[in-house]
Amino acid sequence: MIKRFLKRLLNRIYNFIKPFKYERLNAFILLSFLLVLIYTYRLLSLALWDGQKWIDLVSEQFQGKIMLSSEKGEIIDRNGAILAASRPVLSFYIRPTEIGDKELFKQLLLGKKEQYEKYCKEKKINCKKLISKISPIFVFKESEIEKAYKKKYTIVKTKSGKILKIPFVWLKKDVAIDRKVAYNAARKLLKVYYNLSGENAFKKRYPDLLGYVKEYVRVYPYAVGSTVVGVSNKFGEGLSGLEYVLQRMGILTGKKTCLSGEKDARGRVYLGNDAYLFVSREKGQNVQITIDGNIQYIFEKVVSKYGKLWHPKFINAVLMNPQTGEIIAAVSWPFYNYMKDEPGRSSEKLLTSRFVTAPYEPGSVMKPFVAAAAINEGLVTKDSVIFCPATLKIGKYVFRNEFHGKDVKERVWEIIEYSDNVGAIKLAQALGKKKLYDYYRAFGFGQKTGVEIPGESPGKLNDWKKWRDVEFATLAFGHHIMVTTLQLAAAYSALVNGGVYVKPKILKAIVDDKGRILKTFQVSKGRRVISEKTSEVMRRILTMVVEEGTGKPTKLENFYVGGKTGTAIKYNRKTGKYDKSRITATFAGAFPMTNPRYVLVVSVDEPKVPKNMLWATKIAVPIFRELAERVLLYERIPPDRKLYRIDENGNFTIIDINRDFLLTNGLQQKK
Amino acid sequence: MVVAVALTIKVVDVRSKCTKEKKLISKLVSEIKELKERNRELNIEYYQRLRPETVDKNSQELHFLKENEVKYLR
Repeated sequence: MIKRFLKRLLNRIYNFIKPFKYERLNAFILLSFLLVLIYTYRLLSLALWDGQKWIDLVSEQFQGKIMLSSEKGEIIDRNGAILAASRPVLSFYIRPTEIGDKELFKQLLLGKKEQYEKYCKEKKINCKKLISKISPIFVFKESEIEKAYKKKYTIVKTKSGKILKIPFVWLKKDVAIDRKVAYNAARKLLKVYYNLSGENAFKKRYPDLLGYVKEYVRVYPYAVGSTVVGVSNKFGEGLSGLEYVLQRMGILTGKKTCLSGEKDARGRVYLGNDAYLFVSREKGQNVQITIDGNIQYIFEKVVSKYGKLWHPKFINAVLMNPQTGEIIAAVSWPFYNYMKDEPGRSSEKLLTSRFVTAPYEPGSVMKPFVAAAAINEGLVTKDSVIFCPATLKIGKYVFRNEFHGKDVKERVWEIIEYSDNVGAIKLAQALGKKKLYDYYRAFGFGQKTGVEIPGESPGKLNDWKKWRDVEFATLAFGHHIMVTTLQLAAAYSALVNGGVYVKPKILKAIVDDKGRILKTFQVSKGRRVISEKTSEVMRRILTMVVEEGTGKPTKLENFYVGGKTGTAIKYNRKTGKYDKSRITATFAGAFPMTNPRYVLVVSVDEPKVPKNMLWATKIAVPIFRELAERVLLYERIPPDRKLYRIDENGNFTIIDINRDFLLTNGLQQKK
Repeated sequence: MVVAVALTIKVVDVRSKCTKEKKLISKLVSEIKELKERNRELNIEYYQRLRPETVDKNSQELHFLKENEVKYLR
C-alpha cells in the first residue's frame, strides 16, 4: 500500500520536473538533486546540529587529564582531638620480570643475614650497621614476595581496549615508614643486590627493582563518632558523614591540580611544556566540629549497652547546646566501629545517621509544643483549669484521659505532667488547626534543620487544610506527624532557651595546623517562636514531668531535669492498624533546668522487650538518665538544686536552692 | 678593563652567595616540611594511644560517685 503510494508520488514529481526530452537525462538530474539534498543534510548535521557532540568525541580521544589530589585535612573535635586525619604511608612495588636472581632478591628482602655478610666481607664494611639501615623495610612476608613473583606484571586495559603488560607489581601497600628512611634502605638494598648478582643497573630498562609510592590513608585515631564523621574509601574519597559533605564543600580536600595534555592511542597522557611548571600540592583545610569526642564515646558506650540488651531497630541520642545549636554528641546505634569494621556495602547501614535520616511518629513528646503555643497565644496560662472528661469522642474515634474512667479537672501544666491526651486535644482545639500548624512549622517540624550531615529528612507535616478532625486531634499528641531526633532536639532547644529557634550545627571552625582559627561557622541568628516568659513557664512545666510525672526515673538529686516522654505505638502497614507490640520510645529533655545548658533527646525504635516494659518511662528514660548523669559529671556543672558548703569551722552544710522553681498548685497533685 | 673584571668578580661572588642562601632556605623548608609531617604523625599516634576509653577509665571513680556525691564544692 505504502510502496504503491510512494511509487506514484515519485512518478508525479518526476513527471512534474522533467525538463529534458530524454528520460535518462531526467533520471540523472533527479538522482543528482537527491544526492545534493542528502549531502547538504549530512553537512549541516555534522557542522551545526550535532557539531558539539563530534568535537567532544574527538577531544575525548586525543586529550587527557591527570588529576593530582592533595592531602586531606583533619577533622578535630571541640577539644582538638583528632577524629579523622590523613596519614602518609608508603606502598612498595617490585618489578619481577626485571629481577635476574629472584632467590637472592627474596633473601635480601627478607633480611637474611648470610647474603649481607657476604657483601660486607667483600666490601669490608660493618655488617650490623648496614643491616640496621635496611631493616626498616624488612616488613615483607615470604608469601607476599612469592605472590608478587607469580604475578610478574600488571595487566592494564586501555580505553581503546588494548592490553598492556607493565613490569610493576605491588608488594605491600600502606606501610607506615618514614619516607627518608625507606629511601635510604631501598637504595642500599638495591646496591647490595646489584653487587651480589653482578647485574648492571645501567643496562636495565627499569633499574628500580624495588620502589615505593607515597600515598595517604585516612585514619580515625580517636575512633569515635562514626555516624557523624563518616568514612573514606581507600582512595581518600569521602563515602559518608562529614567526610562526604566536607569533601563536596571543597573544605577538607586540598585544591585539585588538573594538568591537561594530549593522549596517545594507548591512553597515556603527555603533558605540555606548561605542565612542567612547579606544581605545589596544597593540603586540605582542618575542620573543627562541635562534637566532644569524650562525650561522644560515653554516648556510644551507653547506647551500645542498651542496644545489646533490648535489640531495638535503632537507638538515637542527640545532645545539643540549646543556646548555640551546637551538637555536642550524636549517636545512632548500631553504628560503625572504626576498630573492627571495614568500609563497604555491609557497613552502609552502620554509617547511616538515623537521627537525621529516619523520621518517626514521636508521640507525647509533642504535647509541650501544643501547651507552649496555647500559653504563648494567651489562650491559657499554666494555671488555667481544663475539664478533661474520661472519654472524648471525635468522629467515630474515642479518646480516653489518663485518669482511668474519671472526669477530672486539671491545670494546663498537669496535662503535660500526666501526659493526658484529652487535655492535649482540648488545648489544640482551643488553638485551631492553622495556629497549631504555624507553631509546629515555627518549631522546625516538616522541614530540614539544615545541619551539615548528608541525607537529612524533612520529616512529615501535612498542610493544615488537609487535616481531618481526628488527625488534628491526634496531632496534639504526636501522631500523623513524622519527626527526626535532631528536629526534636532543635525544637526542645527553642522551648527552653528563651523561645528562639536556633539552627543545629556541627561545623565549628576552619583551623590551620597550629590550631589557629581561620574561619568560624557562625551561629544562626535564630527566629523567635515563643516569648521568653512562655519559655520560662515551659521549663517549669517540663521539670514537673520529671519531678512527679512520667519522667520520674530521671530525677536527680542535685539538678533540676525537665523533659517529656513519648510512647508512640507504631502503625502496621500490612494490617492497616496500630500495633501495640511495636513502639518508638522517646524522651526529650533539658538540664540543668533553671538555666538549660544541654538538650538531650533519646529515641528507641521497636525494642524487643516484654509487654510491661513497652513504655518510654522504662525504655528511653533510663538511657536519658545515664547519659545526663555522665554529661553533668564530665562537664563539672555546678548543681542548681543544692548548694554544698564548708564553713570556716570545717562544718559541712547542704542548702536547697531554687525551691520555688517547682509548681505546687496542681489539682490532681498528691498533697 | 680592571673595573669590568672587578665587577664580574663581585657579581659572581654575590650570585654564589645567593645560591648558597637559596640552598640553605630550601633545605630549611624541606626540614620544616618533614618536621610538620612528623608532628602530625606523633599527634595521630598520641590520640590513638589516648583514646576516649583511657579518658573514661581514668574518670571511672567519677562514675561511681554519681551526681549526688559531694563533688561540687564551690
